[in-house]
Amino acid sequence: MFGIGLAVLAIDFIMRVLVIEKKVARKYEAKDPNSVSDLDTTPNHQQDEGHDGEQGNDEEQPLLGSKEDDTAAFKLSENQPKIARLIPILPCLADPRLLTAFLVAFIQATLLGNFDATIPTVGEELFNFDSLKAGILFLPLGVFDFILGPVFGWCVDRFGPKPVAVLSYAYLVPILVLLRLPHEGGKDQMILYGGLLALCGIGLAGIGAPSIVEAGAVVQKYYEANPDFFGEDGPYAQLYGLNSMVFSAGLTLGPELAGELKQAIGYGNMNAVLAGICALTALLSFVYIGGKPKMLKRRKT
Amino acid sequence: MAKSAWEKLLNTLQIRRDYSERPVGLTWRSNTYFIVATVAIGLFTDLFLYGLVVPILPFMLRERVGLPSDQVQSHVSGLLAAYAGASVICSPLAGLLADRLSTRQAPFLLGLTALLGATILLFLGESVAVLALARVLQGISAAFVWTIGLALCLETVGPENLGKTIGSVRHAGHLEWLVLTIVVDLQFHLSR
Repeated sequence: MFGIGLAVLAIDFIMRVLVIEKKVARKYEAKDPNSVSDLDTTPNHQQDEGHDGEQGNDEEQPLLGSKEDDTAAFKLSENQPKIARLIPILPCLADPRLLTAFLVAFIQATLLGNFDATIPTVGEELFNFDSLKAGILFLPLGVFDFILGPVFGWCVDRFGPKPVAVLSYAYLVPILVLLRLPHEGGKDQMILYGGLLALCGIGLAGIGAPSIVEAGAVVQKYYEANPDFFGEDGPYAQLYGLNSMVFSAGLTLGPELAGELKQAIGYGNMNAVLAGICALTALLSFVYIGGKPKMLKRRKT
Repeated sequence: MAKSAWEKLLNTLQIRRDYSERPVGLTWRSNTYFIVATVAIGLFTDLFLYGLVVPILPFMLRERVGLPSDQVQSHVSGLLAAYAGASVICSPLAGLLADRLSTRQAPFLLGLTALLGATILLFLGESVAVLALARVLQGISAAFVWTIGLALCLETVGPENLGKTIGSVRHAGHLEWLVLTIVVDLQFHLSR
């Protein structure tokens, strides 16, 4: 056991030593004018896109308005307090889009922690499963998350984080409510429970990528509007640090919440509460993720 | 300009950078797929060692530390919380540190060092305090690898391709579950 652990660590260590970041590699390329590679062309390519974007902006992103408005909206005021200079990500946290992205990640982790904590005990109560057999119940949940994760990731790149986040959370609402159906019994009840968990897996696959992508997109806008404030590389590591913190907090809270709620109001009602939380998250995602939708914007102006 | 082999090695390993000379294998070492694969392996290692340890914690507390059975459950919960707590506290710190440094590689390696320490302590530790320290180190490592790994992904593929990259990288994380099942199964058969 110890040997396998060390072997995995060794492979990981070698790869982390060997890897060279794009921005470091670019410095080498710059010193060597003879070499032409994709590294040299990348920055120019991005600049070209920027110019094209200004012209074609109205067609491509009708929701966001012109680029100048966009930059103004994300411009931070000059006199930030000292703590914000030390931790430059802090002023961005006032943005409801970013807060909603964190909420989406938090609820995702809470759901995961909830399943981790309740599936073994439910398996034991309904079907007298021991811990090894309970492990099998995680299979439908994990398999669909595993297969569909990259598919939904592609959808986020193609259609944006809003539709994926809203549809996935809305989809989870009826599935979570239905989790009250399985009763004690034989094979048919096990198949029913496993099938519902598989449907949950599909939903869990969908809520993985939108939060991280949306948070990255929002912070990129702040970074572009305030290049001096955030320094050379932008505040991305701070952003993902916060994301990881929120996720870990959800993973910690999930099992606690599950344990308390299941004891107090039962498994079916616990899932109904979670369904309500998912519905609320879907609504907030609809309003805030990826900017306000057209109809809400019109009503306001 | 004559250079000693030692200096060349330092440049190759990126410990001391000399931008006038290209390190060996620069092209493939900075290839997008290689960088993303490194992040995926990093997440895999983290989850793998996490998954390897959690099921044997009760056994370790009973057999090696010699706790009475009625205290095992509460200590298992405590050790789980030590990991989560360290990860919650260290994630923003890791992010802040990584943004201050000019490179992501150094803190990324630092996270792995913590994991190495954690693994050794977990397999040798004979007291609750040592096991708790190991779990805290494991949490610190998780904070570093998730924070810096994702930032590295974003910088490498750009925001427009981040969705499918995250989906695929999480894929690698889930693979851990499969491998772990095989390992635990193997262990079970070998020990009989």
